[in-house]
Amino acid sequence: MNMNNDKAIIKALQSTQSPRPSVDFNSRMMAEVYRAVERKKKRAYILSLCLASGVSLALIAMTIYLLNNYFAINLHIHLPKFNVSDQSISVYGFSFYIALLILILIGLDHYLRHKWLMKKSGNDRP
Amino acid sequence: MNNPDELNYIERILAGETNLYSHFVNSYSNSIYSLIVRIVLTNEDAEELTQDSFLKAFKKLDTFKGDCSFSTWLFRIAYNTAISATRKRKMEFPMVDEAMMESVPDEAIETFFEGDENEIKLQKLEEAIAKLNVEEKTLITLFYTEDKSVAELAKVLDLTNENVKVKLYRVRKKLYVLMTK
Repeated sequence: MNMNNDKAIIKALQSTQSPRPSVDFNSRMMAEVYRAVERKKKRAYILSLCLASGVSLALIAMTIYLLNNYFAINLHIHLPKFNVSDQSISVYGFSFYIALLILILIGLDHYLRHKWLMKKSGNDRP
Repeated sequence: MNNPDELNYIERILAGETNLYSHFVNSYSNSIYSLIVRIVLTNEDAEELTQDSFLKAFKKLDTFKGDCSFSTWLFRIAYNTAISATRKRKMEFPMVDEAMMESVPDEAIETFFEGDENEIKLQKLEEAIAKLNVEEKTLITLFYTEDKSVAELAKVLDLTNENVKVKLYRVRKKLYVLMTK
């Protein structure tokens, strides 16, 4: 049986060759591949996060269990009592004002920096 | 592209050079599409299934052992993907009388398919090919247009070499009967 001489079948198959996939098929295909890679990375990240959380929770639970059942440690913490005088209230108020001011300035700096970077990247794009 | 080249590309893709996969897409997208469109018959479905096949291959790239060429492995994925799609819809193929097929002498078939000048014969042959079932179409497409060997066809269709030979032999007889009856 020599099937290499089946010229008629080869010609018939070639003449019924279907149209090729659309012109942008390969680029769309690669975009799908890149998306699949991103999804895989995201899944791996979520999985590792879940794993880390699970291990952490297990360790905490184990620590609590050990402390409660195997160690005679009193876990109650007694906080010292505060006697707040009028004079110290003004000091606390001033400190709070300074802290708030610093926070606002840092926030403003971050916002302006971000805006400037966005503007710069917009100008750099051809 | 030979096997060592393919393996080198695959190793680099698995190491993170995803863009190298475009070499495989550029090299095989037309062949895979041609095979799938013969099975599912509509261009839109064929394009979607071609995309699915390439994505499946990419996701399973770490399971490619290199015991066959990448194209054979890819054709196997494409064939299975197309088969799964056709299972969802009922496709009917004409039955051919076994006795009629057995009665055809081998010499008659060889002489019949050797000549390719007769336009009417070619047209009839095209119609007969369209009547073949999915496995038969895949066999002749890969054997005659992709130059796949019997061993490679066996890998694609999950058959033995002997089985492939028998099926190819029977497809020719079936085509002859479909054309002459």
